[in-house]
Amino acid sequence: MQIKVITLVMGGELKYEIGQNAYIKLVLHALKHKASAVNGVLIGRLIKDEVVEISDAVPLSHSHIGLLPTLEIALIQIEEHFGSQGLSVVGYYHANERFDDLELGNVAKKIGDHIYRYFPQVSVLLLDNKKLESLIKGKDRNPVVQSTIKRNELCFNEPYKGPASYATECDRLQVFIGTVREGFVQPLNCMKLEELSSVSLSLVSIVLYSHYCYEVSSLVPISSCLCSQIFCTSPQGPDFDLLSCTFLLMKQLYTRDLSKNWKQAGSGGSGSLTLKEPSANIVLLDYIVSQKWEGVVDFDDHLDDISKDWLNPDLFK
Amino acid sequence: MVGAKEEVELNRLENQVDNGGSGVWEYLCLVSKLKIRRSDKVLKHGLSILNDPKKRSKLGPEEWTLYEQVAVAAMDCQCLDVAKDCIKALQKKFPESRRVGKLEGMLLEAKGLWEDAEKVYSSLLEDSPLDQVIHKRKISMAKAQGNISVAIEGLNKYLEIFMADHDAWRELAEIYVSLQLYKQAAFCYEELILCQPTVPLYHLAYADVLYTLGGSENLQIAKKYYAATIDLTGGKNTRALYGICLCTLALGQQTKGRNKEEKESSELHSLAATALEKDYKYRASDKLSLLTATLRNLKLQS
Repeated sequence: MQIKVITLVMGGELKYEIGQNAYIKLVLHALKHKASAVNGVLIGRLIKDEVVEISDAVPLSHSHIGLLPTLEIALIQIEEHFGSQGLSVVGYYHANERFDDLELGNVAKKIGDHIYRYFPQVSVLLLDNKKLESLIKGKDRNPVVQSTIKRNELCFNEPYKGPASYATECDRLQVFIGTVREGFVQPLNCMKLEELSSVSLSLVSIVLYSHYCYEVSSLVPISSCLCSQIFCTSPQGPDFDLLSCTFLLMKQLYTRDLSKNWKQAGSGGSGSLTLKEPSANIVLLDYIVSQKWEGVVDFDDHLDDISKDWLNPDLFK
Repeated sequence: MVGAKEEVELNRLENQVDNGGSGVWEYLCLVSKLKIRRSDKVLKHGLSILNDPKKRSKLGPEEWTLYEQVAVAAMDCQCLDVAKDCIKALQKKFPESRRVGKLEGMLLEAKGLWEDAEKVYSSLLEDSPLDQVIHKRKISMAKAQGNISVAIEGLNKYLEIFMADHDAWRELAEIYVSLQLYKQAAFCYEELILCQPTVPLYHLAYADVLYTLGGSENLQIAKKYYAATIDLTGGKNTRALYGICLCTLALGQQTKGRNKEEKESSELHSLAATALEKDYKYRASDKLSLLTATLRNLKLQS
């Protein structure tokens, strides 16, 4: 009894689009504090379950980023302000202290996890200093940030050789929902297919290689629900055991620490980030040359002097 | 860490010299005294003096301090040729100087030649094993290369010998915070508070760390230190005022039903809230509604 390649992915072909103001603000924030790490939140909304539109950024801190008080006060005020405009926190950006550090640190992941609880499609952007440097030296149309989204990805490529008794422990089958990531699949020979479509969840593709191939194809668009119960009565015999064993394993994997599941989004695929205005980098270069970063106010600056406005209303005037 | 008054003066001078006014030397001295990192300005204005023989001679012996300051600023801005020239001038004037040797090491660091820099520092330390500056350069190199654990180890060893070095304690605390090692960061701030009990920013940082750690005991202590910060700053520190409110909320969530605690804390909470409202009304009136909503949020849940 062998199970090969089962890949279940949460969140489907969601695209992320960042507006010029948000993009430039975050880069300028990093340039203002070259010798330290900076962070901030991204504001926007989810459109039709297809695109996350990032329309603004609020710079948060340039020191002691791992401490809570500033973050908590800022998030309350940001939600209060932008909530009234129908916008919410949809992402988080971070720029590391060192030039060549492209690792998304634990603090950034922790904050990302916190935002994830309220907005599962959260995007975490990490400033890529090398890309920024090459932008300043020559022109480039690509964003100078690396985008990461949270994928509840369960992927195991090792054959499962466990005991058949697992099947008896599993009385309810729980399936995680997402879209297939690799390969197209044939329709499932499953009795409850009609029920699945009525639950309006997108489905996972489970490919079990054994004597038989069971596949569930993607039926409906993504929603934010995490899992659902599918009562699947597949043909009898060893295949049913196979199915239930697989499901049990997946349930175990799912309870693992989710902070491990921040995955860098590739270009073009799910979670990819595009600049809304194609000329954003040119405008950014212009601002860099005129040292516009001096005018950026973050929440830290506001707490040091409350007359400074973290909304940065005059930055682009 | 710069106090509000000094920062105002610094910005005033900076504005003045940026717009072609006088006071360049005063500005550079203030930057040096406050140990602030404004390398691009220092480079620009420092060079304007150094490249002008008349202005240079007016400085007298201070000329060499300026060379040193500009060299470091140049390295920070990756203008290595400028740095090299400054160091050459210093080498000519002070041939066997350890202070210049440190600059040579720093130039190697700026070029990314870590091993060569390591050699320079090691040989300098052989002659003078208790040179604090060189020890700290070695630690900085570890941090610059991303070897944070080596940097932490180095800092701890350094502080065993030079335990009065406040900057080192602060650096260590900040590194611990960035790694979410809050207990260790708290220890560093405790040392700083012991050494300099009248510096409000250490009390504030300590309170922030304790709040982040959480747990009712830590929150109680955090509240006390926020209160101490308010005391030391004459009630003007916005973060401390917010801190009181945050602590009260968090404590309220932990100790539901203990009436005595609630009464005491709510008085302090209301005082802090009132102070914040007064300040926002006066200096940030467009944000007053957000503040009110925040305070409401913090009260409602407690």
